[in-house]
Amino acid sequence: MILTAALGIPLLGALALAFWPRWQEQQARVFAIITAVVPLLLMLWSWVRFDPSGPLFQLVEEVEWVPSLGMGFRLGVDGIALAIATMSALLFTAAAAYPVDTKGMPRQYYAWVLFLESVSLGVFLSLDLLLFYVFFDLNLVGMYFLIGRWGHGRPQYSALKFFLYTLLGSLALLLAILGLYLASEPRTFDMRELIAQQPLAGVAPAAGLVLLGFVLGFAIKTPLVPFHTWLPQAHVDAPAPASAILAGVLLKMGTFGLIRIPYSMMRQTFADYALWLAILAVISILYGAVVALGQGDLKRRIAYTSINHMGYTVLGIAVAGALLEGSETARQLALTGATIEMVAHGLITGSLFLIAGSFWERGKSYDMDYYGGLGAKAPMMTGLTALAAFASLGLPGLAGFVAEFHIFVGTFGVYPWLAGIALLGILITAALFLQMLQRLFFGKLPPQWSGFPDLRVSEWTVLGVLLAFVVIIGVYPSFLIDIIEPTSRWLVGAG
Amino acid sequence: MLWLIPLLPLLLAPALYAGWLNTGRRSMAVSAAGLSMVVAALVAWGLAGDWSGSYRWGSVLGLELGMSSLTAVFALTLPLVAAPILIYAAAHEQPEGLARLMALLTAFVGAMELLLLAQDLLTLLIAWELVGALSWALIAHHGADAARVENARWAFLVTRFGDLGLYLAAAVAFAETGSLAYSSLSQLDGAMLDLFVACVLLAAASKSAQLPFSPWLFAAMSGPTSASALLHSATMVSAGVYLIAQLHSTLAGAGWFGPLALWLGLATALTASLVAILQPHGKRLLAASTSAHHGLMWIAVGAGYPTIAALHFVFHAFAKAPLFLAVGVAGERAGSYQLADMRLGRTFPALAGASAVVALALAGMFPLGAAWTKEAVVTAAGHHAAWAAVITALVGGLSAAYAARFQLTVFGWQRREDGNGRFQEASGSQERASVYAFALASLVGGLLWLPGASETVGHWLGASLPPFKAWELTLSLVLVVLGLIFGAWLAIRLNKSERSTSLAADWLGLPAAARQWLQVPGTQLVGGLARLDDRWDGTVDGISHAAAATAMTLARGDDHVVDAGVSASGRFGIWLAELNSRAGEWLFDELPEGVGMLSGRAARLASRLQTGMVHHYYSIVATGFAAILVTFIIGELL
Repeated sequence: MILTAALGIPLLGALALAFWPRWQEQQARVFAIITAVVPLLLMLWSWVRFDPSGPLFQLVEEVEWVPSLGMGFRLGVDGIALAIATMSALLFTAAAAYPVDTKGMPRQYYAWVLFLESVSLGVFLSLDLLLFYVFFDLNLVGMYFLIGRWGHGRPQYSALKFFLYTLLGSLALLLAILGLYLASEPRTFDMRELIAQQPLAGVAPAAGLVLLGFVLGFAIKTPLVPFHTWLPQAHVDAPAPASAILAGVLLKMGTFGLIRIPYSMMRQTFADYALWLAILAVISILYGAVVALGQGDLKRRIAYTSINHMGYTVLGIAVAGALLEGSETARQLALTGATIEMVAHGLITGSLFLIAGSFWERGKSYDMDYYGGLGAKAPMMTGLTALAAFASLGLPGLAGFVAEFHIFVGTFGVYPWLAGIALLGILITAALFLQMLQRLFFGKLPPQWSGFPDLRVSEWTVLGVLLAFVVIIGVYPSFLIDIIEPTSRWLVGAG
Repeated sequence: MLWLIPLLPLLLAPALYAGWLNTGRRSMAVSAAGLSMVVAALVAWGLAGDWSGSYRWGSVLGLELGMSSLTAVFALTLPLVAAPILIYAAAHEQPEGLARLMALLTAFVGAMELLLLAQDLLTLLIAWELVGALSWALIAHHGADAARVENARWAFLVTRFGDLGLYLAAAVAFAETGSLAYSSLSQLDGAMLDLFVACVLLAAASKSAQLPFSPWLFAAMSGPTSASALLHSATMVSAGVYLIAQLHSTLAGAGWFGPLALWLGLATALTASLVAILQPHGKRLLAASTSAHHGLMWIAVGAGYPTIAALHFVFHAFAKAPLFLAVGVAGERAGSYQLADMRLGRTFPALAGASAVVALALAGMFPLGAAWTKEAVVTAAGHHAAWAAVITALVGGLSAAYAARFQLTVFGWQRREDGNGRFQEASGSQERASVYAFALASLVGGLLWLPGASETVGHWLGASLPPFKAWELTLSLVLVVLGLIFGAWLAIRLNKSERSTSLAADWLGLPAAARQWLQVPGTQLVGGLARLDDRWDGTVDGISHAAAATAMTLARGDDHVVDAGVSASGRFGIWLAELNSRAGEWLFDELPEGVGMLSGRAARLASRLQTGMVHHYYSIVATGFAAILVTFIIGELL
């Protein structure tokens, strides 16, 4: 019941907020934080209960729903899902706790955040294909309202663009799910069953089309170049905590989905096309980094680095699935690295977007050249931003390096050339993050910022917790790797 | 246990920073230098006790530490050089951000120790990048000056470009041997060994400022003097030399490594020496000299004598650090680092004397320690080819020239035109004491010239040092004397108007070329791609707008139809009433029958559907969309 509770409690919390009209701002906020912490604690408990040497899927809960169709309410975790779900729960707590202008609608705002938490955890925890799809789509709704109602700039436009673009991906995904379902015998939506069956293995054109559907759906969500243009716009106009969730949690559904469905359930077909996916990932890595360097808008810059980092994740996944056997160690490293990258990117980019929100709150602008010289004025903000920026550019001792090193070493064992090309990405990210720090915190302080306030307690505690985990993963990665490794070993077929 | 050595300064740095925010300069100096001495003691203890260390990441990767005699030479020199620099920094640097600077310097010592103690490529890479990032923070220390921060970024990017080589080297090693440990590198061979060696060379050359990466050292001059002193003597720059010395046995497996390293070292040493001779800027002169002397170390490694490189590292560090410290004191007094503005011998007579000792050491003048190690480099080069020894000796002569020029311009005895006159050396005793300590160390190093001393050192290091050849030694010493005279002549000729940096003095125009051929096209590419991306976004929007327009047209059409329908419905009602009155009987008879027939047909259709899969799709689609719709409605109602 742990997993059901983890996604049920925030849902109940959301309903309570929605139908409890007398709550004021502060009450709603405290209630939301407390409710958001519960799934985090439950995930930590699952972490303790999870046995790395046990079966692949653990803590399984299953209720038959429509047995004739093979549908059911099935939840469970492997090491990868556990790591990502725990990170997501942490990020949701941070998002709920980070101060934000709720525009006089605190109940509704926090209700949507909790709703989003519930359905996001649902994506990572479900072991039923249909359930996965429903949760996957419900995310769009939650995010649509958070951007559309509490955003700034052109929120309606951005929210709608986000919604329609990613819904298009969902449709491709739905068709692919149906294709996979129809090929299963006996027909089922049970993921464990589908992984065991490997339907569509050897059914050449159909398998390719179904894979295309999955990859298209997840590539839009991740996003990979050239399906990425919804992302920067959505980020710029979204409120900071929603941006953090969008980058930290929602993007992961694309890469997590890639591992969970096409990678696991269509091993043969995935291996056939893995090189193409890897090339697309390398293009995203370089393109995302270069275009990020060209952005003068703080949030757009961070958004494009997300494309770069998610490119690393997809590269790791593609490498891991490139072969059915051989190079097991390298592929295992790549998949472990891809998972760590998801966790690391969630924490790091989540922090960066929250910081961007603090800039918006103080200056109502994301233009980096509008700021400058804030280092002496806001040392706490400078220090935490520098920490997050260095983590994002892959400095050793912080989480991003652990992830990227695994991915590079793994990739080199399978596609040496792609590894060499992708490596250039870390040089460009170094350039762009140092330049970002330079424009915001170094140089002369413009006179209008002589009263620029440093981070408040409510801001730096949240950032401090997120970044503390970035440091912990960087210096003590074994606690995370030990959870992920058995799963990635199983998934690359090394037993 | 070996972990103590790097982790003690790395972990204590943040704690000390918090403490230093509210303490005086003196206690900062004592605690920071004290910590360095503790590190030095730990290194000695660790060497004696044969310590090691390992740390597991997962089932595949892990970190390894270990210590050899070569490591110990570097690991011991580092804290011994760092301690006086820290004392100097606490006394000399601006009060703003002093605690941060001291903490960064302390952490730098820790990161460099980690680099030295690493026994596998992952640990090495971690330390390698940490050193780079810390040097960025040190160079960007004066954050209010935008140009300095840009210089810091430039230095970081050049060295990180080299770091890519190390990433790749690690990947090659893992792919070929299944391990990242130094000990398994011997399994590498063939093309993969060549690739590995090339990658390591790239990393080492960029870090130790060999051509074509040398100019980053000038950018690094934007940092505080104490940071420069540490970067150029015992840390950052030396990391490259340490790497090729440490991995020498593997690298030498590729036949082309030795000659290439030797050539690269020679070319860098010659170029950098010329740059130093032409430099009008005191700190940059020293920076170019750092590049040149590391070129000498490359020559030694290339010729197959990593031990000689290590020894030259030691004495170069003890000479270069105090020169930076001295020029820092002089520059502060003169208000600029232009050599033409200084000539402060009258102002700081004792400091001038100490500086003269270390400048002579840098010049390679008998009987100082640095001179012995330079002669060893000449001998090593001679083992490769006689011409290599001649060029190396020539580099030594040039080194003497710029050392003399430096000493006689910074601490010359001419009366300054502004007539500041004699100045009492009362203030800044801490700063000067650091320089005196280094000068003493350079003098003690002269013991190496004693008969039998080199055998003893060679025995400690487990390597045989080649005996000097008479002709090489004679040539070399003659060139040093000639160089000193040439340098003195240059110093006397230097007049106040010489302060602009000529193209030649700025690395023969290398940075300008890099700007033109790399930075400008790079910026254009970035801007172009960013615009392209906006256009692609516009295209995607355009498609959706076209779809929306179509939908609108359809909707308008729909409106027309509905509107027309509504207005028509009135007439329709009348018509229906008329029809009813005429055919009512028939309708009421036929309607139920017709409905029954239709529903029967629908039921048959439905049952046919049920045997197929159609209703599955519908139920799936419906479930998903119903859920979305319900949430949407709730959302809109809230």
